[in-house]
Amino acid sequence: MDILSILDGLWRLLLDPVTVLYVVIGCQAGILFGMMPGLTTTTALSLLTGLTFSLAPEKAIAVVLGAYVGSVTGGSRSAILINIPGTPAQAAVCLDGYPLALQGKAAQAIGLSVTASTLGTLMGFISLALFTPLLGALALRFGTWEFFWLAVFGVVVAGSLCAPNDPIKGWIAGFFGLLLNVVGDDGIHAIPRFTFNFVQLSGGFSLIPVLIGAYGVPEVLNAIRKREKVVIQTKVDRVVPRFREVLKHRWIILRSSVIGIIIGIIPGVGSDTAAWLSYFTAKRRSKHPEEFGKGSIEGLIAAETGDNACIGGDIIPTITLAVPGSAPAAVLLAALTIHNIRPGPLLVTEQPHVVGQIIAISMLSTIAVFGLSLLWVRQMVRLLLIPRNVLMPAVLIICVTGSYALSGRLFDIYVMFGFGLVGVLLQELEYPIAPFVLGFILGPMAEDNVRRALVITAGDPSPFFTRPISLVLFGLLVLSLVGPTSLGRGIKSRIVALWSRKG
Amino acid sequence: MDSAEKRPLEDGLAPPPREANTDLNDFLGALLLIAVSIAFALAALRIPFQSSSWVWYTSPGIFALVMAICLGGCSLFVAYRGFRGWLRNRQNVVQPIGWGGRLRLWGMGRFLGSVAIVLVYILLLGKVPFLVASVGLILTLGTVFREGRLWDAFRPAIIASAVVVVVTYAITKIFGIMLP
Repeated sequence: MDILSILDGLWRLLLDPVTVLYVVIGCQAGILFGMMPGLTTTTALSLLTGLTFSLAPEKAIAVVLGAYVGSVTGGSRSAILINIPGTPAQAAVCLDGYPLALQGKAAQAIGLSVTASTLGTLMGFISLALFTPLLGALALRFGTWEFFWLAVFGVVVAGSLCAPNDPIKGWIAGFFGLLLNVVGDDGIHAIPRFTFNFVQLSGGFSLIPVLIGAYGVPEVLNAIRKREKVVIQTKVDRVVPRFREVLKHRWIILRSSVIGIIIGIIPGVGSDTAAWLSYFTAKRRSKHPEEFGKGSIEGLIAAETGDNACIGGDIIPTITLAVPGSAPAAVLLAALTIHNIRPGPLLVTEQPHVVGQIIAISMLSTIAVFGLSLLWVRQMVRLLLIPRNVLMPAVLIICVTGSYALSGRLFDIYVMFGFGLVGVLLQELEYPIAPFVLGFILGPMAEDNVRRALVITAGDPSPFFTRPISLVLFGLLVLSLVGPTSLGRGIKSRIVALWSRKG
Repeated sequence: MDSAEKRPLEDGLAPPPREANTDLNDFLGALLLIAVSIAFALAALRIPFQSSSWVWYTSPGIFALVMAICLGGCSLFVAYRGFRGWLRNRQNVVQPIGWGGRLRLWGMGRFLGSVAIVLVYILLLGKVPFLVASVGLILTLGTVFREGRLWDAFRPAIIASAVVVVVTYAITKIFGIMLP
């Protein structure tokens, strides 16, 4: 895959006005979902994956990718105006966006956040174009042993990073997802497992109803449960991006983009981590750290750039290794698979035009979101005033439609609701949802590869620890398991102590 | 503690700090997960490890068994930690309000009510036309969980119902999907 593939993809895309229209529809839907507090990027993508099932692959992917970019950008609107992040990734934007709005600078804050988002997203997609072929070439050396470790590593790292204060809860969520995935006919011998002779379960739980249930239903139920009244404190007159001001902060944008891309590549860790890390790095490096939290432009730009740059980073392992970089990327992976596009090393080498098309759609989405974010701002802000108890049932209806659309089974709606209740329970017990979903998605990859590997070696597990890439992945897995524990901290402090003694 | 428990919520008492209940929540939640892992492990053990088609390492139940052990093991650790923390702290933890008050603050009534209404809606699907059931859901949730007067809640609910009917119809046309 080279730059020509991307340009070819972009050219073909621009020649197809219907696909461009679907990109715009996806972007607008994403912005709407993103700005509504409680509706996350993952929910938007899950719903749209279900709804676009019957479309041609390139059109469906156009809608889903457009919504991905749109929802991450759109979330800053409510963060700035009502101090409620549209998506969890925008929590860091609230810290400085809302104080800026209270100072009467809402329009400036929105303009800056949109511009920073666009630049961050573009940087992310440039990295996607640059690193996908490299990682794809490396991934060709991966065998069944490496893919097993990669799946387990993804779940464990997501667990560690999504629950940094209590990583064991993250791992439990991951194992729970891996376990629930085994329900249904076994992939090798077609033996029914844990189906209780219930024929609907023989195919297992469908991914989209599980995703919609785990992410969408808890948001609906929690919004109805809580009594929240939305008050918009400030008016928005005109949103004009201040390019000179953006240019002044180019190093923050560059640094936050790099942070976002790296965080994105790590499996299971999403925009929220990227936004916080970018924010705190900007604060540490700022000449005016005291302004952070009181309306700092630097803080706003850092958070917005970081969370948007993460999108490109998220998609890199999704396309090259079929290991999603975050929960929304997991839905993207599902959407690609549903449309018979099989992400993995072979996609990059054998179908580079598909990868080029994905990058071209992503670039076009970024530009479309930039334009749409500056249009009808005031009208969209009014949507934030819709009472939650009216809005959320409407969202639930779309959840039901999205779950049903894929296979036309009422059973999928029951699955969605069941997993919704599981999601509420996990949230209340402070178990992160992302590792659970990632475990559910990577379950088949882990199970099929470990069994296939053992068949190849007639039950000998040694290649898992002797093949070079396998050994590296195993080492990283052990590090990510031991690192957050007291043993890991003890070893780290010992090393530091030894080092300083020598010095 | 007793007098504090009996005091009404309107006194301005803050809800209990999350930490006060974390250990007990951890313990109870982990017990639930242990039960799930045991159920899966037992079901996995019922699948034979050796047959004419497979040996132990390709058995259809082996992966599930390993995952159930991992889940159970980690959950056991969390349960032990939660129980120990609860035993240690239960004398020191002062709960300003009782269980009933805490559940009310959390919004348990609204939660159970909304779950019940959504459950009825889901069970009605396939028996009642989708759009009729959906309008019913919006009107019911919109008015039952209203903040102000009935009419003030009814008006946006009617508008939302109309919008949902139009949007759902448009979605079926644009994306070519079926409705339940």
